[in-house]
Amino acid sequence: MPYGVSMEHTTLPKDGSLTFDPSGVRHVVVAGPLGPEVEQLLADARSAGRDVTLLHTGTAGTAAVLDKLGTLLAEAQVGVRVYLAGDDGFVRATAAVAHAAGILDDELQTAVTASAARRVWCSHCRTVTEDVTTTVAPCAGCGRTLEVFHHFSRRHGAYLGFQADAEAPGELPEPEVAWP
Amino acid sequence: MAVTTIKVRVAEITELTPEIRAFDLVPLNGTPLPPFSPGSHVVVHVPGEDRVRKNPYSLASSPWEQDRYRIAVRRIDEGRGGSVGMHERVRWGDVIEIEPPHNLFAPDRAATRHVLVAGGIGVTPFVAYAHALARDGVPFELHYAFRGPEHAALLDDLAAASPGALSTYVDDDGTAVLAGLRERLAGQPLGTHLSVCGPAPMMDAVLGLARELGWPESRLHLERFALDEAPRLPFSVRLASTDEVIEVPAELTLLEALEDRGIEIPYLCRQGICGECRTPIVDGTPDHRDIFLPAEEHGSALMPCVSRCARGPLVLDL
Repeated sequence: MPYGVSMEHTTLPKDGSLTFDPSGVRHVVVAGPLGPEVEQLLADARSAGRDVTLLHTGTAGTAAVLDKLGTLLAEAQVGVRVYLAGDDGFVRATAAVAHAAGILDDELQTAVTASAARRVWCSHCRTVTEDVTTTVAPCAGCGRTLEVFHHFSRRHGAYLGFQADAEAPGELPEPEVAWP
Repeated sequence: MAVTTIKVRVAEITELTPEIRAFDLVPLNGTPLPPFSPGSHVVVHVPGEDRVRKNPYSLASSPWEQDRYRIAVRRIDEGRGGSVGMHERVRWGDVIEIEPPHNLFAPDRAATRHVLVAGGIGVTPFVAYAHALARDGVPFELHYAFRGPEHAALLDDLAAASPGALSTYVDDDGTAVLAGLRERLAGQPLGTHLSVCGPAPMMDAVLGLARELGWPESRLHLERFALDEAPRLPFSVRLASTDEVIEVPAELTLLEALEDRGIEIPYLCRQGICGECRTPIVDGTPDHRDIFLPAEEHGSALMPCVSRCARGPLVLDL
């Protein structure tokens, strides 16, 4: 981990695998797209005799899935469990929607099952750049060269990016592929 | 570190139920009392026959009222004497000492709705909750169970602070409140938190029901008021640094016995909840009566406010 971040205390996302949580009374699975991890979860829920609401990007685009999840959780009641799987950008964006609706950490499971490319929030123009794989990358909004910092916003579902040569203009660090 | 106390005058004593009295405490010389957050308690120095008892009581008034604190005290004859002292020795007009408010039961600030459940005297912190939540515009519902109509305390205070939010239950064993709660807990919007204060069996039943209905631990909050009913036997401890032996008679806590010797241990709750008075031990097996200390520390420390000696010699690392 860069800069010696304490993994015990950091707010950086902690992903794992998806395990069916029988303590919940309603289960919402959000996949972008379906994969073996999600199929296994659905099978476990079925064999426990539980209904699952499934949203996935196979039939609708990411924007539509985010929208649907927001609507669904706005009407949901305490007792729901949410499971998110997909590439890092999809998981972080859906998690932000879930948190905004009031979901707490012990009601949410996340698994990054595809690309680890990050969503990066530009601290200068506030645009979120999707699919950032390198430690230094251009902002999709203002074009500044951003350094991707190890600071994560749950609300934005994105990592913090700031102008890489802000301290020493013109001195840009070499980009490294960190999140393929 | 000497504890700062605040001198207050007993401005009013109200018989709320056959067992519960409210004490209205006002500052001397008009100096405002500290504002507090809902769920706070004050440690009251209760005058006794031979010694002062220091008992925590929840503040049952509006958090912004700085010219009056209200506490409600249930008389427990089989207790250690604090509540009996409040009932028998504290009179209208008396000046008594309290310690500044501390909070071990604050409402979750991120909650967008609260379900509050009280049993008996456990209702006291929810008076301040009702004031604070009503002011902040956070919706809540308060379910309050008591043994019989004559045991209902603070109903007027609660109704004034939470119009429309109060449901009451006459309940000896928790069945009525549980039946009422089943439907309520099954239909709460995301963002709701549940807080419970009352007798341990009732709290366990309510939390059990919530878990059954899918509530995760992070939405569940409880305030135990430890009614330590296990028998207390005298014992002694030794201080590792000086080899001094201190006798703890049955009617005192280890914390009180240490204080009597001039050994000041920091504390907040004096009932085994907050962890402030954690004291390391070097020998012996404590009889742990707190709900704070994790099991892996049971061999290395104890909470002298409630814990006693299971097998001596008990040697404190003091």
